[in-house]
Amino acid sequence: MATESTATPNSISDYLSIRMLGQYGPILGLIGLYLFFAFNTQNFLSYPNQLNLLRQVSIIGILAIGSTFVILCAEIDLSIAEMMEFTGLLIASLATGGLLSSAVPVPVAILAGLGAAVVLGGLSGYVTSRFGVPSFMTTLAMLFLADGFGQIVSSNRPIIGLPDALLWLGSGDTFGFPNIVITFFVLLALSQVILSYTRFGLYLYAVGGDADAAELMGIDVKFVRMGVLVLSAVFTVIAGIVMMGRIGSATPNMGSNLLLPPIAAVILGGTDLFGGKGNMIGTLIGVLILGSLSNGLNLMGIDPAGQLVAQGIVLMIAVLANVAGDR
Amino acid sequence: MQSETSRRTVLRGAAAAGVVGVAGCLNLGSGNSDAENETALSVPSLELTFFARMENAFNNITDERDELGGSFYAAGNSQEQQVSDLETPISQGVDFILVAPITSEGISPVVQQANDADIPVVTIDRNISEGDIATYVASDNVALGRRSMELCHGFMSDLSDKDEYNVVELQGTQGASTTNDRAKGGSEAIESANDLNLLDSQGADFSTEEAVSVMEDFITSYGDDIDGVYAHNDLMALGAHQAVDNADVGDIAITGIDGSEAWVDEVQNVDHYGTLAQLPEEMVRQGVDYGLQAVDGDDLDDYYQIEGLEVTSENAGEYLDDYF
Repeated sequence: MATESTATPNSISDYLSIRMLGQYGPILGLIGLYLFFAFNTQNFLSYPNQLNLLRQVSIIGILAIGSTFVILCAEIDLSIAEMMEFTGLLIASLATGGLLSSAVPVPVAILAGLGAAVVLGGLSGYVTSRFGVPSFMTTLAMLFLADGFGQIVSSNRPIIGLPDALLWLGSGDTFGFPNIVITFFVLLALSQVILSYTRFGLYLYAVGGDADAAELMGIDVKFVRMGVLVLSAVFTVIAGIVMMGRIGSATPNMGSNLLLPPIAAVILGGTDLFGGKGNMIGTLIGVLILGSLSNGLNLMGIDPAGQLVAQGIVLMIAVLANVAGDR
Repeated sequence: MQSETSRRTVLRGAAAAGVVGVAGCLNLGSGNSDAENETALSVPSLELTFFARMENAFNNITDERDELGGSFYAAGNSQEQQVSDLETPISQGVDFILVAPITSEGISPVVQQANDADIPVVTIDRNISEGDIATYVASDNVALGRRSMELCHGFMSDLSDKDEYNVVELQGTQGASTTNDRAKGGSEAIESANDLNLLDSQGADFSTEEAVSVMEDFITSYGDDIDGVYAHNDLMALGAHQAVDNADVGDIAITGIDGSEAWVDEVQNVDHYGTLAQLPEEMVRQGVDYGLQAVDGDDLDDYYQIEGLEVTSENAGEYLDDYF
């Protein structure tokens, strides 16, 4: 449909409708998926299943929030999955006494995890902003580094027997609502506030839109670039903590398959891969598209191969709608 | 300008020094050069505990036996890296090679090189599709799958007396031969029992996190109808347990395969949980023995099967003491 219309862009109404499609594509896509699954499964819209769905997307969602900052700034962070793995394993091994001779209190372990994230994220950020190395490369290097560190601190063994305090955020409930979902929504709201109402948020869009112009305006581009990579690293720590609650342990491969879905969710939500455009609401929609797709297909009992095909088709349509909106 | 050039030179120098330093520290494949026999073990990746246990077993064996020296390689799941990892010991002229191939096709060329150099190759855990090997040492994934499903069946009939038991299956990574074999074993067990019904089967990529999500969706779809879960590995069994635990659906039997520490730790406390443990230590030990026999020119079978060990709440503590 999109290709047909772009071939004849001379009609104003065509142009408008494609633009609208791009703008409202993500939310329309999500509504479409919801309608489809509501009609084709028994339980998709039930309250317990919607809670499940939100639980299932929260980890990807938290990583996606961090990635939204990075991508808005026209950078990319390829290390999120491994950073989550490493900081999670670090916190777990500190809190269970696997790393040091005795177990340290959970808050101290978490602070150590945050510290490690800030240092490593800061390192990627410093090399990227100070020496102009593309973040694609610095964070790729960080991917290997974090993967290795994770294997070292865990000795390649799943870490079990985690203290309850560490599991609370990912597995507990508050007023009958899962903490993991509350965490995701609170972070999402906070991040949207940062984007909309702080100087940092404003600078971020400026740098992502046109770094040279931002520099000329007197914005500290290096600081902003470094800041987004540190922020992204901090979000991986939170994702790691809720991940441990969800799976009841910390495993050395808990980050596998978690690099691309968050980035895909950000792009699905309408954020421009080349920076400067997008917001957290879009990211929420992108995350929900991915989550409802796999949840709904599971409920329909589609076999694994069929699921992959369906996911491929939906993603292709979704990105087409995004590009059409940019024209 | 001047200062910038010099700074760049310094940086470049520092980078070069760093690379040399790192290379020096790694000092790959030193081994015990006094030993009578030299060997090498190459595994896909240390991210999986299974291969990390192989590394430990391998190091123990080479430490225990003075006449045997060895170097260990992990390929970070890169087939290309594994080929390079194997070229090094071949060029050093080791006596035999142990390899757990990443894919069954990927290392055929380098096995050919080893054949040309008269170095016997013993494949462990996974076989190769082409090339001459001395022998192949592994568990039989079809048998493991069948026995795990049978174990699950036993637990389900312990839990309740029914005419038909409904089981769901958590499959591994799609397309992996392990997944195919374990699925085949599971369906063999279902066919030979007349009171087993496969409710649903879904992939969860051998991952705990995905297994939690898939199991939650199974519970949404089937609720109390589910009597048992057969997971293709223990990490997914752990995920299924996590979802069952949160959902309040009564007792559900869960079995996995592999014998990983985290799952066996759960198995200790629950009578209707279990697993079929693979014994990587045993694979490496037998692989080394057969490799040495191959060096001596002994006749070997094409394949030696390592039997899986059934682990339930009865022997879980003992198993953990022995292997972890």
